[in-house]
Amino acid sequence: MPKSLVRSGGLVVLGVVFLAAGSYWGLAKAPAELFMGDVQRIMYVHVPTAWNAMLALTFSFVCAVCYLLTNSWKWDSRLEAGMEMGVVLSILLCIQGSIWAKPTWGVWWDWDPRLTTTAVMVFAFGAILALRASVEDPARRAVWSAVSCIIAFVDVPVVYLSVKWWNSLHQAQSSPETV
Amino acid sequence: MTAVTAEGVCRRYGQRWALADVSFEVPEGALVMVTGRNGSGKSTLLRVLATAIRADRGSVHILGLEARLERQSVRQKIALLGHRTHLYEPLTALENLMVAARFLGRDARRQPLLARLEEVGLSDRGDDPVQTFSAGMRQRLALASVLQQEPRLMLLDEPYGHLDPSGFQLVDGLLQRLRRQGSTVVMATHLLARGQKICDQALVLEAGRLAYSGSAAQMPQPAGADEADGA
Amino acid sequence: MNHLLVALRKDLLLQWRGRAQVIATFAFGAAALLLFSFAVGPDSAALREHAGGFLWLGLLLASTLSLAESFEREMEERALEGLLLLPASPRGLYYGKAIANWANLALLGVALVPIMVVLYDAGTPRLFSLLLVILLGTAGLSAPGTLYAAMTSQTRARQTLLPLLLYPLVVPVLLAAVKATSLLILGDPMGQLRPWLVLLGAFDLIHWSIGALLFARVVED
Repeated sequence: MPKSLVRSGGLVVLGVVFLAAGSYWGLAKAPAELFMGDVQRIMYVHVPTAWNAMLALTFSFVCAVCYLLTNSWKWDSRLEAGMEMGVVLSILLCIQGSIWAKPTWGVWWDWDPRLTTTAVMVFAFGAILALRASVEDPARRAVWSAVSCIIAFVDVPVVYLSVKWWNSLHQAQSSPETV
Repeated sequence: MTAVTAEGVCRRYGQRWALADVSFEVPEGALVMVTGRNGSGKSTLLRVLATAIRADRGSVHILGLEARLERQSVRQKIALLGHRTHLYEPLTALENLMVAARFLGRDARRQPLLARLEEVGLSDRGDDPVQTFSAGMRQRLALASVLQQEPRLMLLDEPYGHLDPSGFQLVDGLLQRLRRQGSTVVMATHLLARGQKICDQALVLEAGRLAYSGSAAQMPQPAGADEADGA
Repeated sequence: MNHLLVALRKDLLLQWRGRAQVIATFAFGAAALLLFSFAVGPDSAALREHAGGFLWLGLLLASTLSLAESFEREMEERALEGLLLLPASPRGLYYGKAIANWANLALLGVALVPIMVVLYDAGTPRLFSLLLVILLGTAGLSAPGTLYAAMTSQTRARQTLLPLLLYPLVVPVLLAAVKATSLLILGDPMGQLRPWLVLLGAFDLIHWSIGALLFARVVED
């Protein structure tokens, strides 16, 4: 069996083991939260998902810069992997946010700045994946993805700031339990 | 000095290698013809030499400069008459020349540019939008524009393409002029007999590979030379 | 710098030659504003309250048409490549195109204001401030828009790709411009306009810088 397959297989097994252990801990072993009850348990998944999504997208940004500097295919492959992960995790983040919001606020979406920015990022990076699918020339696809990724990533803080300001004029303070 | 040194030049489009391990040298002042069947890589080679596209492998040196690293410097010395005319359709012939002249820092006034149009037989259509031009007229205008650049290396992709017999004479005249000026010319053409008469050197491409590189007079004739020649 | 001016002149000339298209784009924007009012209903108060939003949505939708058009002429005969081979400075070419697109969009924005005033009863005495918002906002659309238009004009799925790529990026412009416009129309007793203008300005600064840096990679092989 090729080494890379063994390595990936091993990582998958490790991931499943941790997922199972973490799920047991979070869903069964940890006590229910004082005010919110069992709904709060989603934080055990939500917070890591948020960190990992941000990590994946930051990784993509680094790969994009590296590609433009080195023109090496390695970085393009990593860029694609990072963006796919980032988009999937961001979608999960939005779903988890909705699952938490409905019983808590009574609505599926509460325009929380972090979550709203995540939604915008899903579209921004998802669009780059769509761009990749419609460009056949590999060199061009790589350069354009890298450029788009850099612009999208640089935009993240600006989007967050603008949504935060925009939201603060409408909504009362979020509950202190928000992580 | 050598005008062009190509070493192991390769260029791919997706899975297909349009140029594979092409190596040759062109001395300055030479007139070179590049020939081969459709799809053999002639246009791709010219575009690589023009720095419009990069070679995926190998190296290209133009007039002593490395094509990839010193692209802007190379571009100042060369000009490409490609398959596409590089023209703005909604603009007039004069306006197209004017835009190029301004970028080149040359005289962009009406009179000198009209003189250039005169050279290619378009002086009476100076104020007409390129949209209204026939293919042959567009080619003449593209020729005028490229001559404006006064390049040391001129790259021509099928310059006789859409032209009528007077157009053929025009191109021949221009080639002589470039020769006298000491410029190097690399020209892709299907017109074998004509090319052999004018050119010193010939490069024959076959499926992206260089099948022949040497004197134009001794170039091997393809089996059943079927090209309409107009010689 | 010289190349910037030459490029700008060329792009403004191209815009002028294509002015029939500009009128069609304006008609599209005006139609969008009309359709928005149908979506909301004949509720004058609601229309007035959301007038800022409708204006900028209409402008955003129309912008992809005019941005895409701006590169049609560059690609159909590879004119842009021809200029790059002269050689013309890619930075100059980018700024020339982006400024010409900016002028086009700003003009479009200004032209849609009377439509907004009439349909939504949404006027404002602070016209100079409104002009400033339109200028800053359309600058924010033009910088990334020009870059992505250059990219997508070379692909097959260009109609959908340009809005898909552009819209998420310009969310800050949309939020800030809508907020600022609404403040001008509905009144701004607490003087909240300034921060939104600053946000627009910061966005513009960022994108007009990185746009120029990355343009060369996008149009060269």
